[in-house]
Amino acid sequence: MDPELCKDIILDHSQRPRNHGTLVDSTATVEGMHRETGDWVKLSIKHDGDRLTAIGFEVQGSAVLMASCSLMTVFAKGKQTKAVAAGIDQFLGFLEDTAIPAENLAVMGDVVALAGIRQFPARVKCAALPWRTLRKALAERDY
Amino acid sequence: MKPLDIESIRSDFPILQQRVGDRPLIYFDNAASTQKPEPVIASIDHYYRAQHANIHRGVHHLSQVATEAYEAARTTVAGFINAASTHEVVVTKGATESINLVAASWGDAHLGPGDEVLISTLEHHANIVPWQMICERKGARLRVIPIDDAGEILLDEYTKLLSEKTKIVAIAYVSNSLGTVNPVETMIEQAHARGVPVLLDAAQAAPHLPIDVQALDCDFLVFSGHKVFGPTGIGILYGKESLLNAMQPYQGGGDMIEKVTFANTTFRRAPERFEAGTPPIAEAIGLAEAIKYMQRVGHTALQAWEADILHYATERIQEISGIQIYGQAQRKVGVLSFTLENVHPQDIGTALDLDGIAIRTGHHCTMPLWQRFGLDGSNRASFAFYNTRAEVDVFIESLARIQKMFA
Repeated sequence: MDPELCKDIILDHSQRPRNHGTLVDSTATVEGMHRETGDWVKLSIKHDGDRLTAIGFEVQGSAVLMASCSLMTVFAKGKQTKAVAAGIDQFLGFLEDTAIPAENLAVMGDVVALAGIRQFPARVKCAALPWRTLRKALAERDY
Repeated sequence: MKPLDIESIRSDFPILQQRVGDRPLIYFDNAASTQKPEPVIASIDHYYRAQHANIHRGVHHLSQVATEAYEAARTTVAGFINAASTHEVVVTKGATESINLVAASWGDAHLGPGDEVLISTLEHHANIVPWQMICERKGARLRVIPIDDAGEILLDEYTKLLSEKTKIVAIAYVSNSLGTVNPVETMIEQAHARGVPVLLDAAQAAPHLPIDVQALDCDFLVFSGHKVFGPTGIGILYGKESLLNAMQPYQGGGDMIEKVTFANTTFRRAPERFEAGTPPIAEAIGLAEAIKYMQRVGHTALQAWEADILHYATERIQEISGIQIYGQAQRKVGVLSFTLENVHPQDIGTALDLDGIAIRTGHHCTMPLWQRFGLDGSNRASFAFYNTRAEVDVFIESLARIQKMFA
């Protein structure tokens, strides 16, 4: 994917985040943070059976964190929790393994814009935080 | 005054010739660690090729050569800080270990329940945590001298905090996050008037200011090799000889003993008493070369050059809207700490890195200082005498683009 387009998508999601804010009728909330950097995220999610019908978030941190959160919520909203869990595995697996080509993320829509973050090891954990937090939220719920 | 020949100086630092991606490296992270000139690298290379053996032990030729080189390095360090004697110069693995040594050894003997250790708001974690640990163990209390919005220590508050409970004052000579040069002369005078010893954390002062422990009359002073253009893995603890010899060893082992039996061990005097085991010999030799390099550049020329770079960067950065500078002390060296409205430091750090510019972002190991300003951290550009106005120009252009991108 064109790096300029990736940058535009990330900037767009950091400045006009989708699904920003806490859901008033959430069925679960979960927080994640990195003490060292001060990064903090709070997700609120709403389930209907095994479907994730709505997701909201609040963050404190960088544009990368905000964009990753926004892109993740767009990806996850409306999906079966199994598909969401598989997407989380795919994205976090991609960040950890530099041998995986960026094209593999294309199936996750605009999430692929985050692929370039892998070149910045110090920033990978910013991008990963929302996804790890959502994984925790799914694990805490018994399906 | 001998002017500073910047082209010649820059050519002495091999790492400054490299590129990051397709951009020349601009290294503005000198407060975290400085780069090494060729003579330092060559001295370490030569040591391992031609001089290496363990010191203070063998009767053989190489051991003599290594011992002489190591002790000559100690003499160079003593001259650098104007110590009265080489017995006052202890080699450690860094400024952090030097402070831990004093906190553990001196602190264990002198601190008790109700006693107080005085530090300031702008300390590096290395001059907070060791004191917290010993205070916890001894039932003593850590007191903190506040600073004002400019980042200067409030001397009146310091005077009020000094009391009969105060057992030691431990303060930074220069703040690593703000660049403030603290009024250590006055602070030492006031502490001594009450018979209280003072430790100076000179880790950020040593690369920028001439240090004279006798004129300062400080009781302890610490700094790190890697922040004065020398190797990593070495630091210095200066202590007045009478204080050091009255202190118990920090670690036990070889080289620090007079006589060992299974019933009892007697210890050597300072500095050997605090240098258990094989010390960082190559690093000491490299540190001495770094000091000689700084001395050849000359402190007057170095200070004038750095003051110009800091002044120029401070002026130019204010052209960018949304910039807030932290640390506006009257006396300041080496550091430009700032925030940019609506842009997170981590994003600035990454964006500058794409242009080949290295700065530090985050808390810079001074979390309580940033809590004082209601922040998690800042962006910190920190300078050395090998930086130039042209580099500052590139940095400002890059920052202006980042500001527009996120605006």
